[in-house]
Amino acid sequence: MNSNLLILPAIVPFVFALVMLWLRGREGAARYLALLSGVIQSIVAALLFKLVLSEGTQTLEIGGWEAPFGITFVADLLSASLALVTSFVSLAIALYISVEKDEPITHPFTLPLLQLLLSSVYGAFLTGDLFNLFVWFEVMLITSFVLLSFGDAKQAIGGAIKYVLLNLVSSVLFLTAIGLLYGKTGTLNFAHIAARVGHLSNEPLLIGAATLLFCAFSIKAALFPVHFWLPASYHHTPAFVSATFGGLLTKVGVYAMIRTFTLVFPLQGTWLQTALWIISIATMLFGVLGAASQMNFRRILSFHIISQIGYMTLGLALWSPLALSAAVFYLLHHIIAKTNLFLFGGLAARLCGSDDLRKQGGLYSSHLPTAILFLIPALSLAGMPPLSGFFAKLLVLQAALEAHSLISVICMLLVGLATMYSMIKIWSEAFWKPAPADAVRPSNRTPSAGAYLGVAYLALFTVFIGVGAGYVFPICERIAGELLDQGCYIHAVLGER
Amino acid sequence: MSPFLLRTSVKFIAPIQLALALYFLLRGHNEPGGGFIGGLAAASAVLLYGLSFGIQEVESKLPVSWFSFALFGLSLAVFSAFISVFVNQPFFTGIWGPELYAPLVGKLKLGTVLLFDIGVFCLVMGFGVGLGFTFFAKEAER
Repeated sequence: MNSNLLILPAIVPFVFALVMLWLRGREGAARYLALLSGVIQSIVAALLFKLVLSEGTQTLEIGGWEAPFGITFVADLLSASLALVTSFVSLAIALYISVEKDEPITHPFTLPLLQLLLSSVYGAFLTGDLFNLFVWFEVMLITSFVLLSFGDAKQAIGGAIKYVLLNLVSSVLFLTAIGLLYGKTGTLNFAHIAARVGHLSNEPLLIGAATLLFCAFSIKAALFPVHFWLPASYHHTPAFVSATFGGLLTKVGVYAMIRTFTLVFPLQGTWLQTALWIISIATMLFGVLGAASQMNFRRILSFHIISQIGYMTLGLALWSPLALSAAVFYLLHHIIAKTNLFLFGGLAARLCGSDDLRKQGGLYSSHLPTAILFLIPALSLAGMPPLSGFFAKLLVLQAALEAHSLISVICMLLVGLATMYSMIKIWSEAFWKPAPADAVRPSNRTPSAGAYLGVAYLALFTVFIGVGAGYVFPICERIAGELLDQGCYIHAVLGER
Repeated sequence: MSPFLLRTSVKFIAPIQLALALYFLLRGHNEPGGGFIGGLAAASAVLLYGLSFGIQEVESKLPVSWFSFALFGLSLAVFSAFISVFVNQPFFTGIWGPELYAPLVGKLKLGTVLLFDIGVFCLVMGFGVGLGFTFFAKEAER
């Protein structure tokens, strides 16, 4: 069942990064290449998704080395749909930066690095090998660190240092866990570890390894006590870079968490489940409270990433078919809506000449289409029907009710309200309020068609996931079914062995 | 002050190092060695030469920058992995060609794996020398 389609999403941006590096210095060419890369990624990811949807989990044994000896790439429905959503993000960002005059690119390596970052995100989603996942995480960390440090402000460097230090701690924990697991089970293949761990569940070393993985992925996903690297760093980069970060980076952590704690160490009934439940609620609350005090467009959004990550991990912690499908639905909706909001953050800053909400204003009267398009992801994030965020929140809420977890329900409703408050704050400050009298406006105030296409493309998906929830939700239910049935994954990778 | 002893000895040592690097590269598939270690050995030869004769001396003899050299290596490595896709094998599968007899090394099997190793060799050598020379240049500025 080896299909090279599985590796293509990761390889296409890698090859494009190489081509961009050969053509370095020719910035215009790089923009077109990013666009072409986004289109090809979308096609490849769509083909992969279609294949997995119709024929079930696909595997690819890299180099022809049989699992569990070689590195195996595995695309189950979760991986394939995340790859598909990533390709939407990639194309939207390529569209957003396609026109040269409105988005200056400060460093010739920015676009190649962004392609490498995308490559590592696809790789992390599609790999079926724990150590290979670590390698993709490292590629992601290095590329994003370099992208962060391109900002010249002192604060940008400070944010980048916080980011890299905390993520290095995460890498060390991850690597230690891999060492423990390999020592105990003698394998690194996800399916093979899962099959072997089943025999020795209460082994102290394995509990240690699970806890270390839990901590490592918590840092990557920016969960509550270890979330502060995120709002310190994201908003110092150009808008399209922070949109990629905000949309994808933490979500890879959430994905790794879902994969590990359903397949290898099922959470149910362990103390980690309780821990994750408490941490998720704290993450939701602290994220949203952090946002309330901010006045910087993209910094507010950064805090909201944290708060929303809490919803997804809460879905995992509640552990029922409905809760897991809710977590997956949330993940898919969030990647698209959040990327889009960051792009709007960039757009508003470009139109008003500042990232600070106090200096923005008057966009509703001067740029009506932008304002209307902004409402789609903003209201979706706040959970207004019929947009995608409404169903995402509704599903998690239902799962919490089903589990009789009153505290989760109350917290979720409060956080939903506070999210609404933040979105209204952005709306009234940047769009509705008259422009401040002393504001210095940039001369070029008409964003190009490219930028509009980028945000409209993502808004389209936000509407689709909401209006077409009847089509998306059954897929999420199938994903949850696959996640809860470890035997299915193990069988797909290892066959009858 | 001219580092006379260093210069004289490097003239003999550097070629031996380079030959050794090639030897490492070619025997690397089944025995210890390979592109990475070969690349490091080659980079150390060039770095030693640059250290004793000056960076300009080395770089003026080269038609391309070290960055392009490393980039060429990376591209070659990716290309070698792709060959298997064109013959409908899993990505990265080694596709083997004829077997040759090379002096000193012994049997030498041609194939995409060797191509990959050459790619890694160029990447590591280009990266190593580029990195080293950047530091030398910074040091010289002080």
